[in-house]
Amino acid sequence: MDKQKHTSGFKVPKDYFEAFEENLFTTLASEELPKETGFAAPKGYFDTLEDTLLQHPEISGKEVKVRLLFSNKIKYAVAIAASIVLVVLLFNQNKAIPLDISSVDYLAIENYINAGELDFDVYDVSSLLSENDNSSLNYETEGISEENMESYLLETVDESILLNE
Amino acid sequence: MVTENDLVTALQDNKHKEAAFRELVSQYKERLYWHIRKIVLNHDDTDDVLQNTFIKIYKNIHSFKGDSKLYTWMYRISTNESITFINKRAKRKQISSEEVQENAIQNLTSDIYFEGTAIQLQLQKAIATLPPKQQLVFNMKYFDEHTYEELSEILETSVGGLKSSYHIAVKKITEYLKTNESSFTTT
Repeated sequence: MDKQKHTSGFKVPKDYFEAFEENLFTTLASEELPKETGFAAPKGYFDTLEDTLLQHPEISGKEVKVRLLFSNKIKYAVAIAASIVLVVLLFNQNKAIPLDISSVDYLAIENYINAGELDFDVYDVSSLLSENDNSSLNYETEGISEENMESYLLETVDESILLNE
Repeated sequence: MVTENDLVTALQDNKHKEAAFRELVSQYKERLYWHIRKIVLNHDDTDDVLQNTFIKIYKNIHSFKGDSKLYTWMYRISTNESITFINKRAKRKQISSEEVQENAIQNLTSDIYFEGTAIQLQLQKAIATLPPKQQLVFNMKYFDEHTYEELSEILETSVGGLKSSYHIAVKKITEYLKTNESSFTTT
């Protein structure tokens, strides 16, 4: 293109034409949008804002008076009760729990013995028992018939020893 | 009306501070309220943020050196307070700040202080889909009609960057409104 002979001397900002379409599109598009947000403020809200702010503790410098929910007397009573509970709990925590055979579950003892954890000798145990204890032992022989008893004795007991004695 | 310079001088003087502060609140309360409201969306939250903003202004007025305009400084404080408010709420509820905004938008339908039409509600929904910075730029340029130069001072961003953000925001909003056009009539 030939160089223009006459120039007006007007200039446009840098990149004006490059951004022209975009600016035009934005203007057109935004014209179709609603101009109001739809937000509202409560009636009279702005009338009291200055006073609300000037009364704020961080601005007025006045300390906020805290109103207690409980009176001092109740507070002290609760504090004493809480201290007693705490002392009792701490005391009980250090105290050893007394072991008593009655507090142990029989099934647990049985399982313990069956698992072979208890190593004891029948003679040692019987030596600890007195004569009265022996007599009071329940051998639970009621369920064994005479016939079974007889065959057991015939199989296990040497008759010659019995005859000699 | 008291000039900005006189107001700053009076605010920095303990003798006149209270009266000057009253004047400052009176002059800027509505502008800042609507600016914050467009970010946090709900009146009660806006009231909290607005009060925090003015308290911060009151407590920090001595550090205002006049490098920028007073209202620019106040807008910056209120913008930061609004963003901090949303982030704190997100942290407390263990959700993202975008989710906080989504919830706030959902609540608009039952908000007695939202008197918008279906299209205004849809516009708010569209704005909520934008990244936070674009939301700010759009709201401040479109509704508050700030100039790019003012926005540049408040948001500390170049005019070119702001123009680009605004164009992208408008494009995204119009696209959102087109794709959700059917819900206009139903909502």
